[in-house]
Amino acid sequence: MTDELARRIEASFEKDDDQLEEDLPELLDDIDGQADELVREHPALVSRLLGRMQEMDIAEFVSENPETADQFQELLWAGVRVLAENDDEVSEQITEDISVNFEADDCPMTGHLRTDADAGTVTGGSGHLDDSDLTITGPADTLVGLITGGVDPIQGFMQQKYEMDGPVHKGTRLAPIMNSLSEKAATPQ
Amino acid sequence: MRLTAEQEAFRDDLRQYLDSEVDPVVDDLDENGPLDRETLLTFIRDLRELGIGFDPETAPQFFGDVWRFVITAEEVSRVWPSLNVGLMMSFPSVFVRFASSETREAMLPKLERGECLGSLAVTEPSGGSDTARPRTTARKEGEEFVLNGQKTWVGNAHYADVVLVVAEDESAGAQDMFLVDRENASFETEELEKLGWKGVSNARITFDEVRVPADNRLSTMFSNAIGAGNDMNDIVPFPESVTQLFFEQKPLNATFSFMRTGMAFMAVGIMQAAFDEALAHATDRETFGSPIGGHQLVQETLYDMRVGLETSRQLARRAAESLETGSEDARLLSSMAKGYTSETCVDVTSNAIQVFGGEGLKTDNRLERYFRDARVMPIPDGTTEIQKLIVGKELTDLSAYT
Ligand SMILES: Cc1cc2nc3c(=O)[nH]c(=O)nc-3n(C[C@H](O)[C@H](O)[C@H](O)COP(=O)(O)OP(=O)(O)OC[C@H]3O[C@@H](n4cnc5c(N)ncnc54)[C@H](O)[C@@H]3O)c2cc1C
Repeated sequence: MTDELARRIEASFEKDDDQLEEDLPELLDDIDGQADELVREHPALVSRLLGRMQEMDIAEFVSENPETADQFQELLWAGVRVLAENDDEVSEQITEDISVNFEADDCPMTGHLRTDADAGTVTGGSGHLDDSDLTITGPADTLVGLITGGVDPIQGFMQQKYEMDGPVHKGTRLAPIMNSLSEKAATPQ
Repeated sequence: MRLTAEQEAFRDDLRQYLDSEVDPVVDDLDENGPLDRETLLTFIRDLRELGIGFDPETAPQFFGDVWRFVITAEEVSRVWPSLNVGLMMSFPSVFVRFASSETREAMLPKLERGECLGSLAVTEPSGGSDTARPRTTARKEGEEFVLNGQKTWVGNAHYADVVLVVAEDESAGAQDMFLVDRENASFETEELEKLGWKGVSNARITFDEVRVPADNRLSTMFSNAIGAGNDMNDIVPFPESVTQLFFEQKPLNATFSFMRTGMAFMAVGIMQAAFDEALAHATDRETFGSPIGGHQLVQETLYDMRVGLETSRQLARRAAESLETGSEDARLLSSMAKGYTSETCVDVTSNAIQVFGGEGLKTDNRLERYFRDARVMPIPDGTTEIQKLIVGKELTDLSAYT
């Protein structure tokens, strides 16, 4: 059960950004290992937490708390995974197997994403895949925005907010998936 | 590099058309330029029959084959550079298909008939070399963007149906482009008188609270089009090798590489025309009892001209090949080619005047037009200085212009 954890997250919403930033490393530490459960039991809360984090300077936060970068991403990806689980709108978009590495250029944060066309799923996490179809590089805020919906993937690319390497057609097929995912992540369940 | 039989046939048909329909009227039209919309459209309609154009049916075969594109730039410019500019600068009309419903309703029928003329507005009166910081702004208001600012030197601006305008998108804090269609928005234009390219209009545009639908922002058009299942190549009808460069060298840079390669072939076309006339004159005109082509110094001039033409053509082809293969050198080679061929065609056309002597300066001969048209080449689409800086950046990974 994650009710106690949920109460503490709820309480931290009352605090201002600085205070929340101070609490976050400990909160993320506690969430570690039970992210999926937390997301399943309290999806709206996780959406709100990710939303609040998007307002922070993520690069600065990760640079100051390097050990929390992975935990933050695990929560992020658990959120995405669970919110998108069994969701027809998302799986409809997944017509191809695509693997992507993310690399922040302003702090030590790396992540990855993988779509599976047969299963209609998206999974992701911290760290890099050995060989990925695409590599997305940019500021941490932008990378998180891509996942949580703050940054439109194609518009952000055209406005040169981030760079993408790899076959263009994979990139264009990834965009609608990211869009439908971030729609889910942004909508409180 | 060897043209396929199909590409050769394309070139032959185009040459035939230019020689029979454009060559006889070019002197008069250029002298009385810039062209009006209806006259330009007459040529554009004819060229469409040959597979050259921007409408959804023609664009994929025209832009989708680098060689067709560069053959067109060279051959049309051999006869009339201004026509090449009027044609090529219409490129932004391809985006009409992905614009707001309002713009599509107004412009799509025209585009499908091959009659939607486009124009690209990047340069501002405060300076054209530094394009990274536009002063023209796009303010978001509800479901619209409101444009304010001035653009200058905009080709086709007078009569274009759509203008693609570079502006600072204040809502995103980033540079973007906005498609303004003439039926739903209006703006003032002011013709600029210039030395060469006299057949085509270049104008200053003032945007004063010009409203465009939010869906006419270029990045949104791409986003919507891709969301609707289109590939990059459906949106921008370049070959796949070039849209792949969108990832490796950014979309705007890859587009510049394409256009600059076209400019390099344009310079080659101008040089070819000047060289052909100079050579014919050298064997025809006699001084000191023999054709001037028999004098050693005139032969040297012809040598210089021909070397300039051949090296330019080879470098331009290298740039085209790099686009065809999607080479990482595409940006380097297209900037080199644009810079080098533009400067060389000034020398070659100047030499052609020299071979003609006083006749070369007469306005009823073409030599002085070749020179005036050539002299424009080192300025638009990035001056030679800027091309050198791009090449410098590509070679060293150190930027001298940011
Ligand atoms: C015939 C014609 C057609 C055109 N068509 C279009 C069009 O359709 N659309 C459009 O948007 N624009 C168009 N342009 C504009 C063109 O792209 C600009 O004129 C060009 O980029 C140069 O900008 P500028 O004239 O403001 O010169 P400036 O930027 O003021 O430059 C002046 C001089 O300084 C040099 N210079 C500047 N910065 C540097 C540097 N960092 N290092 C070394 N030298 C430097 C330049 O090379 C140049 O010699 C056209 C121009 C012409 C002449």
